[in-house]
Amino acid sequence: MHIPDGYLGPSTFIFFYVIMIPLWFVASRKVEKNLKTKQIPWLAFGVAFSFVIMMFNFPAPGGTTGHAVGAAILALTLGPWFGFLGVTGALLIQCLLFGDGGITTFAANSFNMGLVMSFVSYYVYKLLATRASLLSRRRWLAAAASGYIGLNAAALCCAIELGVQTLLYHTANGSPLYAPFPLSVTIPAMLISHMFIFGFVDAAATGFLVSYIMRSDQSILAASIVQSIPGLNIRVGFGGTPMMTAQSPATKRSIFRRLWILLAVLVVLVPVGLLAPGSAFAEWSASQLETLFGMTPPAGLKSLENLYNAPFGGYSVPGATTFTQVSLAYVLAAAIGVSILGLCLFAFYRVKSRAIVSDPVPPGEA
Amino acid sequence: MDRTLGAFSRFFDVSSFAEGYACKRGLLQFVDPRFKLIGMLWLVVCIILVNRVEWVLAILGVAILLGVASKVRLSYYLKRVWLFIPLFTLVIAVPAMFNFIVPGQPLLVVLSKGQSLGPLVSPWTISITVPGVQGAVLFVLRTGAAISFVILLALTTRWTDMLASLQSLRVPKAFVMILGMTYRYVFVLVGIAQDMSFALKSRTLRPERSANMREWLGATIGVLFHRSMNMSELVNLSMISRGYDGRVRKVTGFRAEPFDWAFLGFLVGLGVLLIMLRNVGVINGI
Repeated sequence: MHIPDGYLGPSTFIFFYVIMIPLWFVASRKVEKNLKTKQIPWLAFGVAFSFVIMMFNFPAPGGTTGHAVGAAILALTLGPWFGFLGVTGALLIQCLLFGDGGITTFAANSFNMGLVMSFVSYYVYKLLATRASLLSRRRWLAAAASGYIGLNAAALCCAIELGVQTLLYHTANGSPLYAPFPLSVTIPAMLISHMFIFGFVDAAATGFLVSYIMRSDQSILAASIVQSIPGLNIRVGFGGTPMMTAQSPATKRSIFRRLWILLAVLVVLVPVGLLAPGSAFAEWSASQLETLFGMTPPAGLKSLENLYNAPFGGYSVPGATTFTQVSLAYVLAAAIGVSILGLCLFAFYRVKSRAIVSDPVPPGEA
Repeated sequence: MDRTLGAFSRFFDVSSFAEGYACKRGLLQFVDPRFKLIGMLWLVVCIILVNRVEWVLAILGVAILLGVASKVRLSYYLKRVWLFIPLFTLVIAVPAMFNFIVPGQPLLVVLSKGQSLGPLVSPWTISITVPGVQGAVLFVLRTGAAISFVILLALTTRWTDMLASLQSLRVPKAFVMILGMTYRYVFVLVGIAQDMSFALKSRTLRPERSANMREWLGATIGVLFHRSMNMSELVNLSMISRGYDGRVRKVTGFRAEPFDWAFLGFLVGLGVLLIMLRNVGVINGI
């Protein structure tokens, strides 16, 4: 999932740097401000851990191997911002020392594997492990699920970034300038391999780690982490340890609100990702010009439009041929997908919380 | 597991090798790391903007010349650059040459519509297209060119110098310090993992089943995590006992010479030239 240099075009990678630089800055500023404590060795070990974890090849079914990213593990045990910073650091070492992952694409990689993966894993875990007792089986199952979903979310972002390149950059004769595959190829390719192979690797790594911690040192599961790294309460996450049990109804509600905000932001980001770097003004279709500005399209544009449409004629939704229609179709798809997912999670949560209320688990029971 | 061990030992080899080149007395080793880092990063961005194959080839030539001037063994350098990532890129680029990904004027028709294949009749035309090949060649070469410069930078710069240069690029001090410590800890953690793997190997008679292996690897990750936390606690205590008060200071001091400015000027000028020439082609296409 490390995108090398040359896969993303200039406006895309600049777009990601514009998003990520403030985020990196905020995160490290907060750390620097509270530098009296042990954040420095903590973070250094977090980064080293993520780096080493990426070198662990798990045997997967079918004779292949895959590696875990470690973002989920760091996010679950130490908080999502820690996961984000840790993976970003590991990626920087990888790109500067080994040429693994590009320099221009560094911000995009940090977005996918750092930001998206650690936050998605963290919130999935928090949702699924709500009110689970410290040593219950649900806790490490939730950890495994969070690793799986987090990795797939990162893979989806990566696929969208790569797939959009064909829409944004190509020469007049249709030859692609950057990553050559349309969304119809990148999304299935990334999601199939990650849903069926690598997702399980990350799930296994995360689940096994949490179950190991449950077996070996439960103090990590309790509040010890929070007390040992004070000052890392950067907005969400870092404060309440994800491993804590029994949240108050107020926190529970605020977790839900945050989760929905996150989802809403992601849905909004789908069209932004398509349109914002999209030099859209060069991509107006002839018919759109007509409706937008009431002008008669130049004849040349109509003939050019065929050239423009040709590369993705094969995959576009029937009827959706222009750039705007295609992007609207993606927004619609994202909204529908998120709604279905949200409804499922909500239903699961309701069933689960009712079960807990009717059958309280005594604390400490495994 | 053997593969993992292989990755570990390769990692050690690569790192020691890289520091070896960084200590040689060549052209790039002579340049102030700050100027080298800024110049190389600028050049990589410019390379990504290039749309013409011939300019990418020219810049590849420049990379090789710089490598030779820096006393990097050519075979090692080319292997390092071209073995993994561009090869991977090539695998990705090959399907994109066909008409079902990039339609256009056919260059080579593999299978035409209606052609019979034994009892079957091909329902599609499969061909390699001109724009497909143009895109694929540009894509692979440009990725290779960008990596050439990054590897050159990594080979000729010590990690500590690289970090000091990052700091002069206004990367937050705390982050730079974390990266510096990380580099050291990676070796420690890899050593621990290697010891655990040897310990398992020396106690087993035959290869483990993959299910057991997965569980063992999960536990290894757990142990590593646990040790990391304990060790960071110890490191923190030792830092405090040595007078660490939360402020980060840097030791390496750089002084820019006229030569460094000249070299930076050369790299920046090269980049500007690439951008100016990006849409000007001598050879049309490939």
